[in-house]
Amino acid sequence: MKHTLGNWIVRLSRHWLDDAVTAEQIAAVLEKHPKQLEIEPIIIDSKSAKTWLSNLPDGKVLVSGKLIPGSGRTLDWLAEHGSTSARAIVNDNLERLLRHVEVKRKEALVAQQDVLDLDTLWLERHAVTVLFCHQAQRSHDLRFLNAAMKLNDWAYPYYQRPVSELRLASYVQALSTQEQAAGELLA
Amino acid sequence: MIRIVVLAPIHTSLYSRLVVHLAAQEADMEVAGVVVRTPWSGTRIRGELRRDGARLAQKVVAKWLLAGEQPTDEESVESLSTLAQQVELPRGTLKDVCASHMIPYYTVKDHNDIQSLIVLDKIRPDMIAFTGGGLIRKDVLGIPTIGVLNCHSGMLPRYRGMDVVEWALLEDHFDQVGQTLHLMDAGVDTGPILLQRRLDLRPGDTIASIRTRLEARMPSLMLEGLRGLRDETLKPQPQRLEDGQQYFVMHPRVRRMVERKLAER
Repeated sequence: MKHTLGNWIVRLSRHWLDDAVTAEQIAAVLEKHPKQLEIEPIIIDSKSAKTWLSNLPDGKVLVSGKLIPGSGRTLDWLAEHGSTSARAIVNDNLERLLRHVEVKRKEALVAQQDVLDLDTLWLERHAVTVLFCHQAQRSHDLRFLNAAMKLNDWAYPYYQRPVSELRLASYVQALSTQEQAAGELLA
Repeated sequence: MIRIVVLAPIHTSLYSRLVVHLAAQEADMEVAGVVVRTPWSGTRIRGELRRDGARLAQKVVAKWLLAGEQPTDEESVESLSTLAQQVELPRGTLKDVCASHMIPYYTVKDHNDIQSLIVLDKIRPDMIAFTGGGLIRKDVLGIPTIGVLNCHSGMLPRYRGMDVVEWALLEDHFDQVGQTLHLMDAGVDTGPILLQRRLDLRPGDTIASIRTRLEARMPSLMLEGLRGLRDETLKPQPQRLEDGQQYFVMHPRVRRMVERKLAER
């Protein structure tokens, strides 16, 4: 992905996002540049997901308000491919995450266990946004899409200055996943 | 004689004024005090700004500047302001209404603070009518002998939390638009149910018109609950939490979808 392309998109979308989310326009722009916006996929398999799950303190992804790293992607994988018992844990944690995001709002997902660098922190936040979008599609529970839209809205001001390509790509992915879910559920 | 206290969010709240005015005229019911939050609390304003964002401005205009008395359109014939005229609510703020009924009036920073606890502890009411003003903590909930009553603008147990009128409409549960009077507990709208009223939707309804009609029915529902508990004709029914879920503030884009849905009905 070209760094300038990302910044151009963000600049272009500044006015659109003034009134909450109007990110479908961003998604429309992105459709013209799909190749340039690919993100290196992070592979999660049954073994790594199982290990991650067994290491969760009390089966919770939030410990004293701090998010356990890998929560977004791994919960998403487990919700799709996990066993019945794993899915029960996933559902509990999804409700917990949803409440955390809605209550803490802009301060949600800021504190993360053992994460110090900004890029990792943002990637994790966007991964939770993607998780919410997928969960909305899986369960037709629009509360999750609603929260994902808010997360993307709140993230937007942080992309009005140059950021790393990976971080920008991750945000753009969160936006386009949101649009995909909105297209399906709000049509 | 049963003793009640009314907790009010702000001195201009029309809903609070109506509940106080109506309760004060009830037989065997003494409004032993009204506890209202001061409008000037930095912590609270910050909290509300964080929760409501731009919507806070609308709330301020409606509840503070207009004191909730301005009907907006023809739909609001059934509104709190119309009810205020019908029941001859004394003009002025909550303090004036209290003065006209000789009810002690207390101002506190927050309903959960020490000042509020001292007042409530001194009055020792049988019931508290909660007419708004944030979350109520266990210390306050434990004071009245019967409980704290809250009128929730949604059908429990299915719809707990915020913007539940909109959420019910979005989910095509048009028969789940209404309100529930319940006793408050430590959870969000999870306390035992006292009374429920469904609202029939009308052609041309908007979110605003539905909310206006629901608001207009809140004082009478609260009074019905207070009477029912006083006369022991109401029995609180515990909720099964698994029969519902908590909803949160609706995103403007999803809200637009609800408006479209209503317009197309």
